Amino acid sequence: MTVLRHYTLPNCSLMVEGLSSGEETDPMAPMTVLLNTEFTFPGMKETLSGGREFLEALAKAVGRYSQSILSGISDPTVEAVSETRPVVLQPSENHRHQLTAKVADSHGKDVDKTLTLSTVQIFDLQEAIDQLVADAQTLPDMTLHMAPLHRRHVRPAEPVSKQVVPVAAGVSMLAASAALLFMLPVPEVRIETEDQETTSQVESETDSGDTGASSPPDLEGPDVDADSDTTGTTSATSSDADADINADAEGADATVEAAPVVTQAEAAAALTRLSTAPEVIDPEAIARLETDLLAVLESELANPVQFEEVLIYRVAVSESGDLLGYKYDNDPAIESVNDTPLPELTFVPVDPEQVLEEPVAQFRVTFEPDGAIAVEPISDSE
Amino acid sequence: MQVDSPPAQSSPLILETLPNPSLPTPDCPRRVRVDLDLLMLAIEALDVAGSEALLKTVEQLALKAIISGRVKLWLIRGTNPMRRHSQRSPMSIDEAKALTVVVCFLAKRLTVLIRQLLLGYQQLSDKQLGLEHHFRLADYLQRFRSLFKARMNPQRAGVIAYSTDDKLNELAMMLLTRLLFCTGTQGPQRLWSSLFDGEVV
Repeated sequence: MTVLRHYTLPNCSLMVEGLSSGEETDPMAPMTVLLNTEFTFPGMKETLSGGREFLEALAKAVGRYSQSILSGISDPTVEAVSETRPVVLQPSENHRHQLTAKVADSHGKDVDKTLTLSTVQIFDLQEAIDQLVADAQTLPDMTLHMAPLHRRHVRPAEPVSKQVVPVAAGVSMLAASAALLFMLPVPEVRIETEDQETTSQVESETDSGDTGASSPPDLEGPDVDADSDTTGTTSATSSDADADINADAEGADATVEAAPVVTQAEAAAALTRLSTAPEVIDPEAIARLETDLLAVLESELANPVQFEEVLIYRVAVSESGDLLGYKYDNDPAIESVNDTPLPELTFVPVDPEQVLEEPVAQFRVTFEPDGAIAVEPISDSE
Repeated sequence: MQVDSPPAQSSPLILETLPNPSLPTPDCPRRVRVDLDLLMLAIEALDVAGSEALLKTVEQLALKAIISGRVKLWLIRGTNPMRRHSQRSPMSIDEAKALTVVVCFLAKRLTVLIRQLLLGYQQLSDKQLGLEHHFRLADYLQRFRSLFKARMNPQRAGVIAYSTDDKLNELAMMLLTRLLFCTGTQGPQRLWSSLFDGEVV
């Protein structure tokens, strides 16, 4: 018995023509053999018609397409119409959709038919097919295949060419910067001893602090070393180190204070100069210088005494009684030198380069925290 | 025979129609959480009483075991990372199924309106006219925009993409199209299947 079924939706109607397998008299017998299907869209002349194969291909294509509308992820396997894919759906401009199908024309020849459908028409087309599938009375063997797209089918958001651009830009920037840096000279490795570094600092400070006449080239490390080697009197390196420490501690003062005030560096410089000077040998002269020095120091020592430990200095005095230089014999002496009258009393040579020829006498001066001062002569052998 | 414990609660029968996707993680991917929440937002924009209708539908479809009430629904929708009060908690597969069924049920009730708006939209774009010429459509878009702006965190990158009214209108129309496809006979199955496009392994 020939059966005709209609699935009518507002924007698409489906007419299915087929044969029922049951007895002729049974009106409820399901339609099992499909003869023809025809889709018509109200307001459009074009119709789509075909047999079972066409219906199944259409159902598959429309199902897949409506899923891509729902998910927003288009099916990457969509290609042009071919023998294996008789129905293809593609988005068109102006929110429409283009359906291309290979259908047989009136002469039995395969021709490509293209329909441009609106979203609602596509939905009604899909809904008509869904209703047909859901209808147990029509083609009960027809089923729907619905499955989410596999992860590997989803195209990466950016095409490969776009992904390559940042990588290429990064590599070329690296190459360009490497080429630029290659032009720059390799920085020279300069190994400087700490001594040289700090003495040069002392130099610059004394230059800026004083008239400039007292710039002491004899302060430089190698010179001092040579001096100590030849004379063997005071250890030049230690005096050098003393000068450093003083320069570090009092550098700021040196730059600010006026010319007559002797800085530590200058005093030390004066002392290093003295290392080659001859010695006062006359015991009477030494005794006189000793008493004079004691008297001067006692009169100049600040009252009350600012330091709390015993300070010991080596002091060089000229024959006329001028304090030519001093040097520290213990650690507190370095720290508290400004609390003693020594820096102010020291005579600053006009030309430090001039070798001292007048004889000097050396004394060990001891400042006690209670204000007592002891002065004793030192022989050259010490 | 004496039974010590009540029988294990099985998920509501209505959810059995939706197959479990083979996901690499036990929870729903980000896109599922975003899409379901946005579809509900579109329903709320279409129907003034949409948020109440959501709760009523949950009751009607006997999904109270999964979505116990207003707060639970709010918490589940809060798993959308675009939200202002986004929850870091995951969305279970059953919760996603329940929301899918609810969305499709409500979309089916709004079929006539959705069709009218989409047909009107097609006519307007065919004539190159602005969307404000269709009163009902303009109303939907305006409601959607204000709901979106009120609920979504403008700091999030996903929300910044919709900073202009045009972009939001585009999103609203896309959601309306999706809702149309949810109204069909196989709506829940199609929506469910589409939610995991590109996520299954």
